[in-house]
Amino acid sequence: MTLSRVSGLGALAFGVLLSGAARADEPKVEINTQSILASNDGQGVEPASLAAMKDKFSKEGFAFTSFKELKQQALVLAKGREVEVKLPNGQDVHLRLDDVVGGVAKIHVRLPPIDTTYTLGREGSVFIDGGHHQKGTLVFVLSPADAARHK
Amino acid sequence: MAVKPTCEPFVPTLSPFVDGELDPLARARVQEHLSGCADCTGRVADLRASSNLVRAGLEMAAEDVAWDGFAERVMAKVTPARLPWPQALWVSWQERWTYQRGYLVLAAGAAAAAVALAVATPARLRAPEGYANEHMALGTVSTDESAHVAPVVLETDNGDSIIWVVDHEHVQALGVPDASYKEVDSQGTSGQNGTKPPTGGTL
Repeated sequence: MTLSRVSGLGALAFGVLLSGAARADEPKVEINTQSILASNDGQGVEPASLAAMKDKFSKEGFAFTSFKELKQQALVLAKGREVEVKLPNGQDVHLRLDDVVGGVAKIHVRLPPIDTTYTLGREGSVFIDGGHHQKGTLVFVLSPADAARHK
Repeated sequence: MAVKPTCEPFVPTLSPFVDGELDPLARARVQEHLSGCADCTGRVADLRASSNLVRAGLEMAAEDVAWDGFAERVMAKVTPARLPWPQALWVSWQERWTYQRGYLVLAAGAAAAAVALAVATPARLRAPEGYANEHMALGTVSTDESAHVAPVVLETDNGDSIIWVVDHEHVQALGVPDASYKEVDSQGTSGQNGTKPPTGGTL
């Protein structure tokens, strides 16, 4: 390898890293999503951490006896780019980061026929009716990224 | 011993002959002369005896020499004095720049990139982007008109939101006008507008 080629490769690597750093400036947020099957088919709560969700639903009048996590996915949303998540019942959820203003991310979630917008926070969750599935109802859960929860 | 005229050309070559330093032609001439000259044969015998004596003496002397650390002592004498560190650094840098310029450029690029990442990383670790707020908050909620359903938004004790879909007929039975479901802010949830919350499995 000649000297000029090595130098060229060095410059290229440097350029790639710089462009990567520039891309890192684009607004991006991380979120957690879950697909939970809520039903009256048995008493199972899997994983056990869903007991808190069961309790919340119970207090709001939902009489589901079983909560099972079918899917868990961490997503990175970039401004203006839609991300699609397929639910176990075939429904598609479309998520998009609209903007980050003053450090607060505003995201748009479309789970037909529902259209919603949220501002992210370090605590809390949003539970969205995801339609029928098997013997129960799917609940699409939106939560802060793990890294955000412990701040 | 007087040297005979016939021996004169050969006497200077006898020592190289004994030491094996003659070329083949000269060696053949000496051997031819030795075959007919007793004087020179005697001289060669004397030379060989002397040579063996010297060799034996050297070997005996060598056995008495302490060779431990010989190499180190020799190298210590041939190694130049150590340069002051700034000068040594400058010489080292010059040598590297002369012979490894490409690698130096590459290393400099990598170092610059590492610095850029080091500067950027703590900013990301301080607080994840977009999470300046303490709690997640619901903004707007709407449903497709063609679906003939309406969203019911419930807020739990700790501020979580549950968004459920109910048929228009069911909503009307609850006594809530459809228009109220087009946009719901995080505070004014429809579930708190005097309606009973939905029941799991019966919606």
